[in-house]
Amino acid sequence: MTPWATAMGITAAIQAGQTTAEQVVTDALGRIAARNLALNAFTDVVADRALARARQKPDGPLAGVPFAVKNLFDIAGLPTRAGSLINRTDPPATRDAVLVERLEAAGAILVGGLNMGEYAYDFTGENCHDGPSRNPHDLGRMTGGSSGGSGGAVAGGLVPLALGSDTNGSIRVPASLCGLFGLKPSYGRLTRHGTFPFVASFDHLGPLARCVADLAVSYDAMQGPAAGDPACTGRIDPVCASLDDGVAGLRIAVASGYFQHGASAEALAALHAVAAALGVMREVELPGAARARAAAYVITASEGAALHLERLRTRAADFDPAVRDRLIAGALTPAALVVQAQKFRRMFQAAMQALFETVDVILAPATPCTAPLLGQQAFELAGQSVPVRANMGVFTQPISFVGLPVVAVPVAAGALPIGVQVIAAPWREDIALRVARTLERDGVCVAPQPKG
Amino acid sequence: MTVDGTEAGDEAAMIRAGCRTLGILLDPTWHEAIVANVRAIARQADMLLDPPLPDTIDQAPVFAA
Repeated sequence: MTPWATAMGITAAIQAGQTTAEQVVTDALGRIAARNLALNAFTDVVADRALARARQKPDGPLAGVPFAVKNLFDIAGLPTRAGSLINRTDPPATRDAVLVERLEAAGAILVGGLNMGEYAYDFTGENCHDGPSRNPHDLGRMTGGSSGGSGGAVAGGLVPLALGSDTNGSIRVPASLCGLFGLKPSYGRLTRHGTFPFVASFDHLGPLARCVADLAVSYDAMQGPAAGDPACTGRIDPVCASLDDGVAGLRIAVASGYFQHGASAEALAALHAVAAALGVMREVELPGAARARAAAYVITASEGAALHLERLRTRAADFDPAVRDRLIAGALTPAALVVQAQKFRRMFQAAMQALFETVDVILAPATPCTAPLLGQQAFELAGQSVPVRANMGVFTQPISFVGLPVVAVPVAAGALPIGVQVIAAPWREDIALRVARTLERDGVCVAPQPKG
Repeated sequence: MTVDGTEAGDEAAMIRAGCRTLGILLDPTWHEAIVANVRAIARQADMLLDPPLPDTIDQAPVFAA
């Protein structure tokens, strides 16, 4: 099968007897062997396991689909490195992460672990221990992060489906910079059991793929409560059946103000293209978005530091310096400031709840610009030079701050893709996916294949 | 003296004292970058603290009995 086959295409071909799971996995492993040196998407390949599984001819809605996961997901038999040097000496995981188990129960086949920014405190996809993930659309550019390998592996045609995590934007940013569809579900929707955390208040998990149907089928396969994960909801709301319901009757608006301030010409053009395709005339202001971003920044710095405090005390020199220095600063954040941030979180949540009484979908840029160059330290945002690492998520952070579901949709923007966020009310992933599917079907949002 | 009136030494002292409290051993070569990140958090604090939040707002819940 072509490297660009979707998960649904693979499953259909296997079920029609046109190929086998073993052939599909063999081909995927071949592509990884041939191209991973250039893309640096994979940090671990579990070839024997994958082929053994494929020979069992697994059944289900994702039958035979090779997939990979950000290396903060537990993979049985491997230490869960979470992009770090420090975790490498941990004992190997004894069990797969629950979402890995669920995808395999649906017939998908895990082929490996993916590169990421260290401990997920990153928007670039660069990793000082494992090297940077490289953008398949331009190998001299970032994938974005922290799910950089997830973006690179799918956009580069190595696998059709990958899982990432998103605390402040780490699925949506690589989806945007790599030209993919990415789903960050509602906070608490998909269990985090069996993954290495970053900020418990904000961590979400979700899929990246080259088509909306692949997001929807994998998302439905992963839903459900998990023992030992009190943050995970018990509700299950399948989305596949309504995917092609269209957008008639949906109240859709473009986020104004903060979400357009500082966005590049490409980001604004993509936003307006999506809005025009949906016939959107209305703009809405998200009250306090800048403050929401500030609060997310503070909570992230503080909770991240608290998580890593013992590692900072004993192995500070083994961190990526860029991560270490942010964590140390975070450890020194006054507690009163963190409390203020959590108080504002409740206020902002209430404000967004009120806004979603009048609108069903909000559109906003996913990233302020297209993929920066590898090694680029700063970019221009609203006329100021700001660090890439901390600021690529300015438009994603206020949204994940209150756990809203988002589908990032790709828009061709000249030589490089860029994404738009399709944001829905809590627990309404179905609506966000319907909008994304309509845009895809109408040719407005398509995951481009890298040229050359 | 920095633009906002603080002495550059104030930040250094705060960082040293805070790390001492937390048991984090600082390498002097890290200092400049840590200061830059402390200042980045301080800029976010400026946005977060003004206007003051009402006394009656509870924090977003982390724990539920």
